[in-house]
Amino acid sequence: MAMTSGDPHAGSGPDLTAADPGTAFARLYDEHARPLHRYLARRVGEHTAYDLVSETFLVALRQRHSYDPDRPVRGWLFGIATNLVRRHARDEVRALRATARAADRGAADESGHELRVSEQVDAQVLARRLAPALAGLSEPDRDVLLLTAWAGLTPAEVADALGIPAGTVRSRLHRVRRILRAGHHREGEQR
Amino acid sequence: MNRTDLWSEDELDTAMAALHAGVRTDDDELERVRTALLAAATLGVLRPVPGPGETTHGPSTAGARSTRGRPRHRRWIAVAATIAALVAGGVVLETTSIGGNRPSSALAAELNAAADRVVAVDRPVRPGQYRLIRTYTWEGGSTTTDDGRNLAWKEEHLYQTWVPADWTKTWMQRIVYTGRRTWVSGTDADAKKLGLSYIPRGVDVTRARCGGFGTDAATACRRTGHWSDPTPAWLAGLPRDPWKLYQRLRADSARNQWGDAQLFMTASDALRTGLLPADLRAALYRALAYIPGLKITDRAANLEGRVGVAYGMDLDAVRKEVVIDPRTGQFIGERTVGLPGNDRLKPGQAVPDTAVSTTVVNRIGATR
Repeated sequence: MAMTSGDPHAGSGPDLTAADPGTAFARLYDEHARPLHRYLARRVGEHTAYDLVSETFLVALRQRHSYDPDRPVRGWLFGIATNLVRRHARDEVRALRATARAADRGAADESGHELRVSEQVDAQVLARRLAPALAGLSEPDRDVLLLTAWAGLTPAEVADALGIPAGTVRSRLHRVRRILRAGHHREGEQR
Repeated sequence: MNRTDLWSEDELDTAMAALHAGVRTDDDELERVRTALLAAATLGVLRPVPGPGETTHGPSTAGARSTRGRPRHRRWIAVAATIAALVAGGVVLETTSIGGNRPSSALAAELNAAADRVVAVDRPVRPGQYRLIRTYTWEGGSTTTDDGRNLAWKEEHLYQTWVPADWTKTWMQRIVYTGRRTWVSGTDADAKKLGLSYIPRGVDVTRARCGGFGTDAATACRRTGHWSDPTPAWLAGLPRDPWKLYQRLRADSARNQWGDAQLFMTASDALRTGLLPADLRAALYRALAYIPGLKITDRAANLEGRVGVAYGMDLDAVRKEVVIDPRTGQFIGERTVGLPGNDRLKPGQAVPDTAVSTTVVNRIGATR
């Protein structure tokens, strides 16, 4: 049963189709609500994230009969959540730009060249420099990147979440990382 | 690595890991969302139905800092709004039959059958562990306006009480006031005119030996106990024979205008504490069967949508009920049902008042 994808979750997803879904959803919530909130909070802020956690599970409840237990449940849930983030794309981009602006008041040098030469690399400084690059990504690219980096999903789970082949996930991730590392982002582009 | 690349793979990973890594997840907020979710799952509610006088205050998080700059418009989460409307009586999700006289023998047989199904088993609390009793409720107050209208509202609370294995040790009680209010009758404008706009919001934590919150340890630890405020010794002294327990209930209940209904209220007070051991609960459910006028309803839901069996009695224009989970014998909450003559609830309209659950934890303050 687990042979199709090699994914340890395959074939072992919860049964959400009982007439009284309360017990199954309580367990689902207890296992996934916290990581979902953390992923969503990093994207759209702590407070909006609670609304989105609630909506994610309500959507899951409504669509529970379409969930296939052979697919990883984490991919399904984070896919629903990521879809909801799309409605908050403006909030997300605004938050990333705000993070970036915090950097401008900091270190004097803006040149990446000097950054590489510097001995001390502060993680927060790096993060703030990265923020505008993330804001400039397309939404599908940002989704793949953040589901991997912030939600900790495997390529198979990301594939499930976004409804794309796992091979596409890997190649997209590779491309996005190259873009970010090369600094070839287009800041300010709206989607 | 390409000469023109600015960052290494490690630097990118470091930046990704650090970006927005300082976000926090609040236990109480997750709990609140969980409650709404479970209510939706069982009550089948997925769309908000605004109550007649529903407050326009958005949901507020206990202890949350307001965002800088212009205030954010917080929209209601669909199910949270529905719970608010539900406790205000503005939404009818459940109706139950209230009429008819049942032959008392048939009723008694039914209650005994229900009590048989009640497999009253408690998780043991080992030394160093705590029983956590959690009560989620919307409760409130009422007053009268200058022009004689009745104002009534409910506010959302979460009570958590940690009871040590040894009751003489320190208990802890935590009360979360979420700041959410819903109107049963009246409006925000009425409240403002009377200077009642302030809604408490925050978290209170108190500790007390022998569960003596609001009093001193010496007084608390030497009290004899009562139905609404039991001690282990007092509980141990109650008879486990249902008929004898019923007589004890009658002897201990005040004689007032409520008549037999007072016996039910005394029993409800005891159940509400969450402190009754399993064998006593099983006996009490059977003892209730002896109260003249007791009503039993199947498939009654508590405030989180958990379904059980309801035992209740009619008082004026409402029936007050306790809801029991027949699989475990746990008391899971209370309910109010409208009766003919009620000016707010339709006959048979059921409004859940509380959701109660208990569990055993290893540390004081732990929730799982």
